[in-house]
Amino acid sequence: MTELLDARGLTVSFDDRAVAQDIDLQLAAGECLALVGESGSGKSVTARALVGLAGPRATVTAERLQVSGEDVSRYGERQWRRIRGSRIGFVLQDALTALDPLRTVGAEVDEPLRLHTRLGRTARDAEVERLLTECGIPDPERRKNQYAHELSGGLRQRALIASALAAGPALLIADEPTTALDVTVQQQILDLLAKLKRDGHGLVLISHDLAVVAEIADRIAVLDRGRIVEQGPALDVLSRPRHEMTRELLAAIPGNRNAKPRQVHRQGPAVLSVRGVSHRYRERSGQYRQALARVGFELARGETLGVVGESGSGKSTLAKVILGLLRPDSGDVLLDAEPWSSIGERDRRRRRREVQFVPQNPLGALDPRYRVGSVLSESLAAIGVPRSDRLQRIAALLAEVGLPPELAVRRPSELSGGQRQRVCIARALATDPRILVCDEPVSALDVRTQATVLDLLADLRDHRGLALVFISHDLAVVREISDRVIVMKDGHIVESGPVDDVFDHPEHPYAKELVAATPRIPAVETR
Amino acid sequence: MSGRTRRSWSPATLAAVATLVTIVLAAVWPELLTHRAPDPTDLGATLQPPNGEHLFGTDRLGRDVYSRVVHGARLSLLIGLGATALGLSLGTLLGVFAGAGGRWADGVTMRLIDVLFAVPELLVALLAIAVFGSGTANVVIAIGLASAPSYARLIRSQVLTVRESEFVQAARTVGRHPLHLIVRHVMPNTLGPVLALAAVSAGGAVVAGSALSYLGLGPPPPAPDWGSMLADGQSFLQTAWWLVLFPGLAIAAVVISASVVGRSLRTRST
Amino acid sequence: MIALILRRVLAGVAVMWVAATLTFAALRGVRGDPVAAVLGPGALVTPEVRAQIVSEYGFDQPLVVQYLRWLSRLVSGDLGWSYQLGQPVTEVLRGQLGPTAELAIAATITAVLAAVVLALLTAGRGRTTRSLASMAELSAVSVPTFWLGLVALTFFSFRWQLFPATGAGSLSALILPAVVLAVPVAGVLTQVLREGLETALAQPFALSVRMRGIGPVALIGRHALRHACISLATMTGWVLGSLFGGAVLTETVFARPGLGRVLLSAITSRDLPVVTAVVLLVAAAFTVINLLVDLAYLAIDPRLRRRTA
Repeated sequence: MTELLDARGLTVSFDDRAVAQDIDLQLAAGECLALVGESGSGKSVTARALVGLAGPRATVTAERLQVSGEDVSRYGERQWRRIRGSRIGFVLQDALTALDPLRTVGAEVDEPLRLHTRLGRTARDAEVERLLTECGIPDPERRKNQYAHELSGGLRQRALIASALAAGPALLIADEPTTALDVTVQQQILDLLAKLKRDGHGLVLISHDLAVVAEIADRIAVLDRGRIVEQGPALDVLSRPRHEMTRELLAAIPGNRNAKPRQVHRQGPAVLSVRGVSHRYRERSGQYRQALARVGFELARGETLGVVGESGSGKSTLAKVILGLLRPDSGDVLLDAEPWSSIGERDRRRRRREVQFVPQNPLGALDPRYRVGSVLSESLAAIGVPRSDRLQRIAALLAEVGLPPELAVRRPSELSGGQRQRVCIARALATDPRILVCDEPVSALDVRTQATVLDLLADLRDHRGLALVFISHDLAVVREISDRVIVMKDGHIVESGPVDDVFDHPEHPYAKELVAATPRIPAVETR
Repeated sequence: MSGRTRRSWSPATLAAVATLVTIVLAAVWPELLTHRAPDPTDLGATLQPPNGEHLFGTDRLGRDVYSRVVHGARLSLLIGLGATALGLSLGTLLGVFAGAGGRWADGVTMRLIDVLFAVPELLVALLAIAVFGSGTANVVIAIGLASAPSYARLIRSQVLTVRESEFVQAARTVGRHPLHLIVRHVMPNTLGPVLALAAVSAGGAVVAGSALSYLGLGPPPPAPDWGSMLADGQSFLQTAWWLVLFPGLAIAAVVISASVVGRSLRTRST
Repeated sequence: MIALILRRVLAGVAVMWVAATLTFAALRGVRGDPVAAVLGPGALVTPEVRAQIVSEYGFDQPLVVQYLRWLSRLVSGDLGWSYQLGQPVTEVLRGQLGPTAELAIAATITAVLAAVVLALLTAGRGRTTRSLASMAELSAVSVPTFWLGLVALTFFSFRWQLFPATGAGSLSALILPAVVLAVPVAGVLTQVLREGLETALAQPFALSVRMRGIGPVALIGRHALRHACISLATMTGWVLGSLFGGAVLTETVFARPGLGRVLLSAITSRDLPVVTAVVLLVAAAFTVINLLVDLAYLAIDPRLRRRTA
């Protein structure tokens, strides 16, 4: 077997601060090596150093750095350019921005051919179509003349992969190639990468998600703070993790950890009833798009309803309707069997404290000018808490979400992602709500932070008896926290029921597809 | 994550602020910077080059150019600030109306603003002067009218962005009154970029004002005004370069300083 | 695509209509005797002239009729009669359009060339280069055009006698005013282009293009420059305004014939028929150029085509 990549003691530093240190990587043809770590662990910068693009301020040193048996450790920019694209192909995260939006995908796939081959125009044209077909793009004669924004997310990502493969590199590096994609599309792209591996390409796959890489990686290297803390065959790493970091990452994967057993379930009558709610938007083109179609469910105190679906399925519109920020075209939302969506804004304002929300992007949901204390104070004032009591209540709220009281004087920009989300949760709790609408509350967080925030939400629900509407694209997360679940597609509920029933025995074809596409760690399944 | 310390002012910004303070001082209290009056003529000392007695030289009537530049600050700033205040008020009215009003208000206002944008600002100002006549007050009105559309456009887009932001929705979700949302969230977050634009265009208004008076449409003589001093000096370009150099430098100093301050306000507000 | 172009053209017609209405309002908004407003101050109003003006503008008719008559005359290309100059307005403007267009085009070419060269030289350079460049651009934008013209005259025409101080027609008489007019435009364009280049080069696609092994020249020429050009689109209005406003001043400073000079003397003598005609002419030129620029951007940026299609 030929070694496609052999790096030893690879170190990347910025201004004498090492962001990746003593990295050892080997890769043979037909093999897939996964680099896994949290954001800031140094995985992306390592990958970029492998093509000589760690950045103008970076210093890269290595005891050995070979690509296809060729020593590249002393390469200058000109020599790097010769092997980029021809020996090493690189795939970035989001094809919408990673392909030049002003050029057709055909021109983008053609570019490496122009740079690295001597093929004539017609020969290149045929080669572009062959590459698009190889990457699973049907109708390449038409697709090659389209622009990235005209293709679906999946086709776009395939085109990006085709452009990386164009000049025939044996080694392919993919940096979070599926992170921006819906789960069913993610599965298709992973299948494509697996096919390329079978065809003899060597694959370096960078990801934050162990469950994703588990599907195709032969070996896994776990990075933490710039160092490889564990490296070995995928099955060993996943089933017998030796390093603490690997264990924590594995334990934090939703559905894979020992979540606390649920004590409290459905209590009493419904606090929230959604009855036959429909809503449509008028698009720029003048056409209407049905965002919600006759959606209905009920939710009781202490209960969690999971809402799953891919982008555009109507999840966020549903959240706005429940929060009373959007009046549905038809149907009713009731709080405690009393009208909510149909009443006037003035009456609703008085009851708004009962329904609160936890956002996806906590930074955007906090006024950049407000300190944490003022954020909470604003909500406390809204329910008439006198000024004299607020300091004490703020400290209590911060304690309840696991934050130290000193944080009250910080601004949102001075907090970490997890802290910001806890502040948003504290703000939601400040008005003593009965219903909490969480719209993708953990999808912007690292997997370990995600686990702690999920635990917090479950605790609060159980102690305060909150009714939770939990919206997510991630089935594993939803399964962990929900009692019941609804699956949405194009504004319709296509399946609903107790969470284990829906996920273990999905009936609707779309629900089946979703469940099948959700990445799982094989070692866990055999447990 | 950004640090907890606030960014300090750059040397360029400090220099710009110092320049502006000096010029404002000249406008408010010119006697502090010169003991000479701007108007008295001295036909025995006409067109003298800069010397110890006359720092910036004298003009064709023997008036002290330095004193006239110092005293000219008042009119120039008055025109610049007056026009900015007028443009800002008009622009705010239009912008808030378009941004916070309904879809119809927005559509109509924006079409109108698009049309005004399709005509150069100086042309709008000249048309206003053709209608209202020349003179200081009319120059202020003309420039103010011409600058209103750009304020309106910025304020509208800011109001729309902030209004749709999740933090405003969050405040709405706890049951806050719309007025509270506007006063406590929308306005403070709109103010920064608007102030930055105002600083930059106040400088532009000073130039526009001096341009109009250079064209003879501004304050009538013999009032000391930078623009009309330039027009006066034009006839003596071959012999008396100081007549156009110093008033021009004063205008340039105001504009550049205002732009520098505006830029640093803009980077701070984002 | 055709519907899109049609819509832009219609928007342009709407702009012209509003401009015509505004000038009509301005004309009728002048206080006092409308006949005196048309004639300007100090003109002799004989009964014959008065009768002629009243019938030409329809001052004895209701306002709506006057307005419609004003519009229909404009549509037929009749810009009215200048009583102060004693000739038709079209005659007054004839021959003035050429020198102004010549000046504006020369200045635009100079500014664009300078901006492209300077932006390519300074984009992505070190801190010092960029802060120097940004200071230079700021000064170029800020310095009053007419003052710059005066200073240029002092040195290049009088002291060193390199260029003629006044007049038009020859190339050497065009160079100085065109360069002076180009300075602020070049300042803004350089800044926008450089920032556009830097933004484009910082986007993910630039990284993936470099990962194909592309060289710096092709990276900018084939990819980044087009993106930077798009950011110029937002500046069209500003550039045109700056060119026209600058032209009025530059023509005065260099004593060149042109629309700006005509407009200025018409304003000073309050010859309203000429003023409104120039305003409409400039608005029309603006509308047409804006339309052409819009269409050019549709050709460059495929994303625009879909969004508005």
